[in-house]
Formats: sequence, structure tokens, C-alpha cells
Amino acid sequence: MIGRLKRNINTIRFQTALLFVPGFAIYACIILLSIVLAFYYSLFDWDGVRNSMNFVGFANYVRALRQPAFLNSLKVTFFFAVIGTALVNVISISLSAQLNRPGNLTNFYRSAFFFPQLISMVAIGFIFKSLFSYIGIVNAILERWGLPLVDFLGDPALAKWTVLFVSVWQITGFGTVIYLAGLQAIPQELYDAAKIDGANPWQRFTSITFPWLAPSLTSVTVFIFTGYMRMFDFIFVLTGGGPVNSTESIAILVIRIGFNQFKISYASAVSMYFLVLVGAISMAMTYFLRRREEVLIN
Amino acid sequence: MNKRFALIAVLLSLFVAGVFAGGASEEEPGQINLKWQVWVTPNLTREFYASAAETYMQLNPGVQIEIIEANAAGGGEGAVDFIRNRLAAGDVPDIWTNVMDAIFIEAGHVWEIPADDPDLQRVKNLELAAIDGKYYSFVAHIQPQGSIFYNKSMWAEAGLTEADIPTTWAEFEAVCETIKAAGFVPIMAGGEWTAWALFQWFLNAEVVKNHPNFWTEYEAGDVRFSDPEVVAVGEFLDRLVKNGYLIEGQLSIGYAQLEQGFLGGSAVMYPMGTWYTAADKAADKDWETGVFVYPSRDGVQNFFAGYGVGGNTMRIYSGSENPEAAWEFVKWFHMDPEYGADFIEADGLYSNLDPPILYDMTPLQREVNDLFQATEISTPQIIEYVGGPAPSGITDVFQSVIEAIITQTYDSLEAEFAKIDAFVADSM
Repeated sequence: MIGRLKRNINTIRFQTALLFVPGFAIYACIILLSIVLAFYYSLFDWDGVRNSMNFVGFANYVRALRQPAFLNSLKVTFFFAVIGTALVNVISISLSAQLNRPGNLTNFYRSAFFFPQLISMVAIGFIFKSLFSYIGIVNAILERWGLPLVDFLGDPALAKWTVLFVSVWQITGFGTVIYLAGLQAIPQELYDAAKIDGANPWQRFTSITFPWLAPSLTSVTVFIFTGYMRMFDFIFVLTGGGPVNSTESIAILVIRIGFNQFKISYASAVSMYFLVLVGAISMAMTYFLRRREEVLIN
Repeated sequence: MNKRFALIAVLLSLFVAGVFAGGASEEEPGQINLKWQVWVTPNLTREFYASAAETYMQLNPGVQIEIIEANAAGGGEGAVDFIRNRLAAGDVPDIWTNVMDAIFIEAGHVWEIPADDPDLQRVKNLELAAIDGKYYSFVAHIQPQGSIFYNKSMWAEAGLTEADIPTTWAEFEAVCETIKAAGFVPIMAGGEWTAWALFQWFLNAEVVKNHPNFWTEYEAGDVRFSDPEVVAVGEFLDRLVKNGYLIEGQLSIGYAQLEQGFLGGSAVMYPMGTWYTAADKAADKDWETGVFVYPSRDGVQNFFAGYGVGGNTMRIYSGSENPEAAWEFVKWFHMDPEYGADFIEADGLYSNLDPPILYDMTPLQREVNDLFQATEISTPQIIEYVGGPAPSGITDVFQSVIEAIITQTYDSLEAEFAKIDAFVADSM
């Protein structure tokens, strides 16, 4: 018995499992347990402070669907996710194509474009807030040039575009690096052959570059889209979800109803919708983009 | 067992020990340990609190006070979140500072102060600090908020005199028009929390004045936000916006910029709580600041204030092992001539004790004090406890409504105010 135990202990499989335990324990405690607890609390009417709570079943889920604030936050979140992902992809592909060319300043530009990725989102939020405030630096410049002032963060129609601009500015560096790595993996011979066949730059891009970038596109799209779905920091610092809830994403709404309004159970129900939504969309995106990769590469 | 496994076992043991190790504090026999959650701001520093605790410990050798800091960066919610998290973790400070929400009292987490305590009787207007006839805070100071400050130089340049200080909405609008005609911006107002604050300040001045037990009346169905008398406040604010009396782009102006804007002469009037007086004292400027009470529709004014639920008020945790000792410390801190005075001076507060704790006031602070004493009506604020507790997070819906008014993006004011009723119905 002891001998068999010793033999098992000495196997690589056992030791690998043992090493896996601490990481999984942390993951289970922080992520899985939180999800289970959020679902559990969503079935009650707990405020996060009282010691008692009543079971309400799925009432909080029904309540969310009837709340204009929840439906508005879905709309806002998809606005950021869809437009932001598209913009980041387009700009990143374009930038990476430029940065893939040899040049004296190429390395500098590569670092410069990636630099925003290294700064904390909260710090970026504060920097851009001082730039885009009505009495901020940008308006001071506009005023000096005799141009009308713009209420970047206080106008509901403009505020969401301002938040989107700031987020795209920060995230594009990540997309650019991934696409640049993808571009550098494309064999030069393919371009040489295409040139000999008379393919113009656009044809070379659509027939070689874009198909070969398919795995990068999958990674960037899924990563950026889910990131936008979870976006909190920029919005919280720049607009706090306003004005008139025009930038209130699901993440902002959850924090607001959970922590400002002490509706922890209701916020948990909204979080569960959010979890299912992000999970389903990211799985569907991964599935379709992977299939697309296979089609394009074959 | 080979060396590799032994190493793994040691690392795992360290990990498990690190995760589950507890930090049990050692207590000497007869010693009383108190944990004091303090509210640190640029004016109320950690060093200030530490000095107070050290002095108290020297005076009371059997008491040990540990300071636990909550940061003011996130606003009042920071302290609330802090205590909520500590409650969830089961490691709750004995003394709480600036944890305003009534929900903690309803949940039974706040210690009830003995009503017959002689020091409690020093509190003026004690009944305003009562919640269902019980006391949970030592309201040794109050934070008047019904004040509109103004730049006396610009006021005079616009052709206005002290006789023009408004008491009614009509007079206030006339003053705004005069200031605007003189080429100045009449009102310095901002975004972030200052937007909902402005909204609720005007509600206090008009609605709470007429309904001093607002939330009790609300629960009984006697008053609603969609009532014409409440919507009238929205119509008044709407006129201020439509006539261009508020500074442009206000929603993207943060609190710090707001204050600097007023100090820099960007606008003539600045609706703000009396904590502004501390900034005014520190400011390097060549003009004097005046102050008046919020106007109302009929001219009867209400100098509303934070009574017992705001302004760095302290509470004691009901689960504390030494609530009486905590209470003794809280009383000492507020009534000590040095620390009590420094505390209220640093945050622009006013003593609510009889006899009062005094500090060296600036002319503006004295003016506020005189005005506060002279104004007959002073109620708590609608976001706090007015006959009953306000629903948690009501400032969220106030923010949304005032933003709709400022950006002129509402369909009808009645519909906007009905949203507040819907929020309250969903919260009660």
C-alpha cells in the first residue's frame, strides 16, 4: 500500500497535478466561488448589509428585464463593443502594415504605439478627463484658435464617442502588436510570387495578408470584444456613466445598483445575465472565427 | 520520496500556511482594544488622527487604539464600502467615521447611544438626530450646506448691492439676469457628485422646508416627487439652464476644477456646502467672499445641514466588545478643546454642542455661523434621514434627472420626476 503510494507520488503525472492545485485553488476561490455566490445571492433579496435575506427565486432576473436602466446599459455596452472592436481592428491592421516595413524609426514607432497599453486605465482616464473637460486643454486650444468650444464629456451624444476614442487610443497598441506578429509570420515568397503573377497591392492584401492574419484577427477580436463588454475603468473615471446614463455600461450599472443602492442580489442577477452574455458571445465568436480561419487558410 | 517532491511539499505547505494564517492580536488582561476607522482627507490627515489617539491612550493607559484608514478619494461611498466589506469579512472596526447610510442602523449594526447620557444632552436640536426616537450618532457638529457663496467684487461690478441678496426664486433669477447682463457667468456649477448635490440642495430649500418629515410623508403617500410643488423645483432649475445662468459645460467640470473656477473668478455665485470656507481661507485672492441662504419660492428660507448622518459623524459598531469604551473615546475626541476644535475647523464644520467648541473663525466662517443661527428653519437633507431614511442610492436618480435638465434632453419634467418615484417604489 505504502509502496504503491510512493510510486504514485514519484510519477510526473502526480507531481504535475500537485503543482496545478495552488493555481486552481486561487482560481476557484476568486473566480468560480464568486460566480457560484453571485448566482446564489441573485435568488434572494439581500442588500449586502443585513444578516438575513429572503428567497425570491428568479424575481431579480425578471425585474432586470423590466428596468429601462438594464436595457439601456445593454445598448451602451454593445455600442462600445461593436464599434470599438471594429475600429481597433481596422486601425491596428493599418498601423501594423505600416510598422512592418523597414525604416529607421520603425522600432521607435512600434514602442510608441504600444506605450498606452502599459499605462493604467484609470491614469489614462484622468489624463483624458483633464484634456476633454469643458475647461480643459483641448478647449483652451480651440478657444485660442477662435473655434467654438466642445462639451466632449458633458454632451450625451458626444460623451460616448469621447469614451470610445480614449479606449481605442489605449487598446490599439495591443491589436497592433498581435497583427504585427501575424504579418511577420507571412512568408515573403507568397508576396514575391503574387507580384510575379501581377497582383496589385489590394489583391495581395485580400489574397495573402488578410487570410494569413486570420488567427490574429480571431485573437484580437475576441479579446477586444470581451474587454469592451467588461469595460469599466475609462467610463467610471471619464463620465461615471453619464450624462443622462449615455455611457452607462453593464459593468457600471452593476456597481451602481450593487454598491450605491445596496441591491446586491439584484446586481448579482444582472451580473449573471452579463456572464452568460459575454460567455455565449465569446464562444460563438471563437467558433465562427476559427471556422473562418480554416476556410481562408485552406 | 525524492528531493523534487520534498520541495513541492514545502512550497505547498508555505502556500497553505500563507493563505490560512490568521493574525490574532494579543490582548493584555484588562486592556481595551479599539479599532477606529478614520476618514482621511487633505485637511484631516492620518497624523492628526494618530496624534488624537496617542493623546487619548496616554490619558487612558488601559485603552489601545488602532487606526484604520478609509480614503476620502472615492467620496462618502468609500467609507460605506469599506465598512460593508469589513462586515462581510467579520473584522469590523469599533468606531466608524463618515458611514452615513441608514441601512446599517436598520440592519442592527450600529450601537444605540444611551439616551440619558449627560454629554448627549449637550447636543443642540437633539431630536433632529433621532432615528425612530433612538440615537446612533454623537451630533457634536453639523455641516450646514444651504449656502450660496458669492464674489463680492464681481457682485458690486455687476451693479448689485447687499440689498439685492435674494430670498425668493424670482429675486434670484433677477440677480442672475443682472449678472449675465454685466457680462459675467452667474452660477458656478459642476458635474460629478456636485450635480446631484445642487439638485437636492434646491429640493431641501423648497420641498423639505415644507415637509420636514418628508420620507414619513412619502411612505404614507402624502407627497410624491411628481407632485406639482416638487416638479416646480425642476421648472425653476430648468429656467436657470434655459436662460444661461449656469456655467457652460458644467457636467464635465469636476469638483476641484469647480472650486478653482470660482476662486479664479469664472462665475459670481457658487452653491456649495460650508466646507468651502476652509478652501476660501487658504486661497490667495484679492476679493472678499459673501454668503447667503438658498432662495425659495415664497422667500421663507431653510438653512439645511447634515444632521448626524454627514460631516464626518462617528458611529459605534453594535458588535463591538467595548462599545462603552468606544463611546467614551468618541465623546472625548469631539469635546476636547484642542482636537474637537481642530477637527471641525479642518472640515469647515460648526459645533452643535452647548456650550459650543470654538475655533478661530475667518470673517466668512463667522458670517456663515451668524446666518445659520439667524435662519429659523434648518432641516436635514432629503438624501439623509428626514422623518425616515432616504432610499440608498437615490443620488443616482437625482443625477440622471439633473443631467437631463442641464442637457435639455428630457421629454417632460413630470416624466423625469416620475422616474424618481419609480426608483423609490423599487427601493422601498
